[in-house]
Amino acid sequence: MKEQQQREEEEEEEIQKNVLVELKDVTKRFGGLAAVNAVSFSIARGERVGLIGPNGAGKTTLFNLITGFARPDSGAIFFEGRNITKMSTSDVVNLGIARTFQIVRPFTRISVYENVLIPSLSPNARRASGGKAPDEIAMGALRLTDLIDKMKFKASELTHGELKRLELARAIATKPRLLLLDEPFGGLGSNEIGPATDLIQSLPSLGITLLMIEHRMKELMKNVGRIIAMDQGSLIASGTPEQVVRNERLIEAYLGKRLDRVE
Amino acid sequence: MEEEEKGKAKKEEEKATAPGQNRTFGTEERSADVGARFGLLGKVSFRTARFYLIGVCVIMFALAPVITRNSYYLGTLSTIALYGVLAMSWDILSGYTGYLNFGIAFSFGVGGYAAALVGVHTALPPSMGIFLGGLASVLFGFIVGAPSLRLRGHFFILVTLLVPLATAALLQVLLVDGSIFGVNQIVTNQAYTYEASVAVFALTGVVLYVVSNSNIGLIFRAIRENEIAAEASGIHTGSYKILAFSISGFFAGMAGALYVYANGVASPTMFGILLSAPPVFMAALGGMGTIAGPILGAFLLEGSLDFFRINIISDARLLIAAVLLFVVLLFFPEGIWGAVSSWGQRRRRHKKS
Repeated sequence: MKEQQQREEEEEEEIQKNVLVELKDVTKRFGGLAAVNAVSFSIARGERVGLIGPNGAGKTTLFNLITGFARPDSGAIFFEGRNITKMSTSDVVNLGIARTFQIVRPFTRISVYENVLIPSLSPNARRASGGKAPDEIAMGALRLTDLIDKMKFKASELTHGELKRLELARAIATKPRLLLLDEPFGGLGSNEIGPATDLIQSLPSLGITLLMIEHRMKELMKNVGRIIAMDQGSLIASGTPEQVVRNERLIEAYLGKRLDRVE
Repeated sequence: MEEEEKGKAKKEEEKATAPGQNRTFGTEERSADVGARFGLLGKVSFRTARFYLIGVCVIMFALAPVITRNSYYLGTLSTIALYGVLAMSWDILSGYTGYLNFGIAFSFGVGGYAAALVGVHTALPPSMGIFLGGLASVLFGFIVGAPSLRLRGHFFILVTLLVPLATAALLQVLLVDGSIFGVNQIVTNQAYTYEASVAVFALTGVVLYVVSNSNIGLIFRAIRENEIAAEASGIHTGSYKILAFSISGFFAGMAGALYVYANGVASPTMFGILLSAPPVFMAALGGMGTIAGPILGAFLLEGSLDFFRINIISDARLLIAAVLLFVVLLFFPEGIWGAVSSWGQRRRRHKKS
């Protein structure tokens, strides 16, 4: 009896060790509206998770809560067992969580190289890379995102697709273990989708766990192993991509369209 | 698949059409070039026009007393140096981080009063007085700046406008019966003041040049360009804003101390808008977010104003300044130095490709 209990505890511990990020009953209200309503889920180390839902479902708000841009009204967020609910953004980033923004936020009037050098100067980049020089970290991120040719250009001179890659390079240069991507395929041309998919699929090999908001279901299903769906602030479905696209509530939320036919 | 191939072909095409660009931007060479970038004080390239400009200024200041002993011209040069220090200090905060400070007179006044107290109550040499003036300014700047840097945009500007005015009003109340600090006259020697102002000017120029070209300067610019993205890059923007504010306050405080040693008196007028405004004009005229710009602005504005003071009524000074600023910013919104350096950048890139 005692042995079994101990084994259970050990198993529990094992699962806990494997959990990278965990949300417990997280709620955020704007005025009377609950943008995020009692959301709980966890993501294990090495997972690739998609986050979907119609506009206004609370997906970006959820990202803001995890990365310290907003504070939940109630509930708690844990990263590697540590409570990060009330931490500031830069502190969260320096624990190993990076994000991209749906609307790109480059440092407009400085060079692409310097854009990526800035996150390389963060304490986490230094620590997680084993004390590499910021320059090396920046060059690594530029190489990965195929921006070496553009590194002397100002960010204001880049195309939208390049800015999307710069956004990703900036996040990668902070050396995260958890990366939150807000519509990485948003606004990309058809010839840019392929390279972007390759890039995103190369991230797990760098030890990066992914949580990704994306409306393009075709691309999302190629890139994730699990999908979480939200509607009006609440979680409504979770499972493999194949399970989730057949979920009744989700189909309803998306105005009755069958998700595997949504482009 | 087809799309992917198209993308690759396009990339290869780009590479083929720009071989020169590829060579210059090649990974190996670039890494070697910036390999020296280490820690927060990054690589400083001395082979730039900015360095020469500072060099020319220093030589000019050094030779002036040899060429002329006319105290009027030396006085003008001291004033230029003083305003140059103020304009550069203003710029390292406002030009670099984008937090517009319309009350640099606060740092100037605090530094001045601290130096006056040191001069009256201690036997310390003026150089120590100037240094302590800078330190006092950092201290008081921190008390005011730490909370106000949490405000953004217009609200920060409002605070910077109000704080020096409130301080001046407070001092006027305290000074009704003469002087509670006992600060009235400090006897100074004009030649010493000239050399001191040039020394402080040179020190400010060199230190701010190094800081602005280091990774700290890069982070300041990142805050200006997009504070949210800087924070999302793991940069604790609050600390860097306070750092910029402190550096700015230190040198502005030294300028205030210099002013007190030059004029022999510290008064509430040191907190006035007439001291806060010229550094802003000078930096905007020369080019915000550069170190050479404010120096150039100080020379142009203060130099031309002092020249015109001989010929035209003194009330025309501000009018001339306003017209000059208006004309320059209309055609070169980046200021004179900003226009020159972006023209140089365009030309360099044009040559390479």
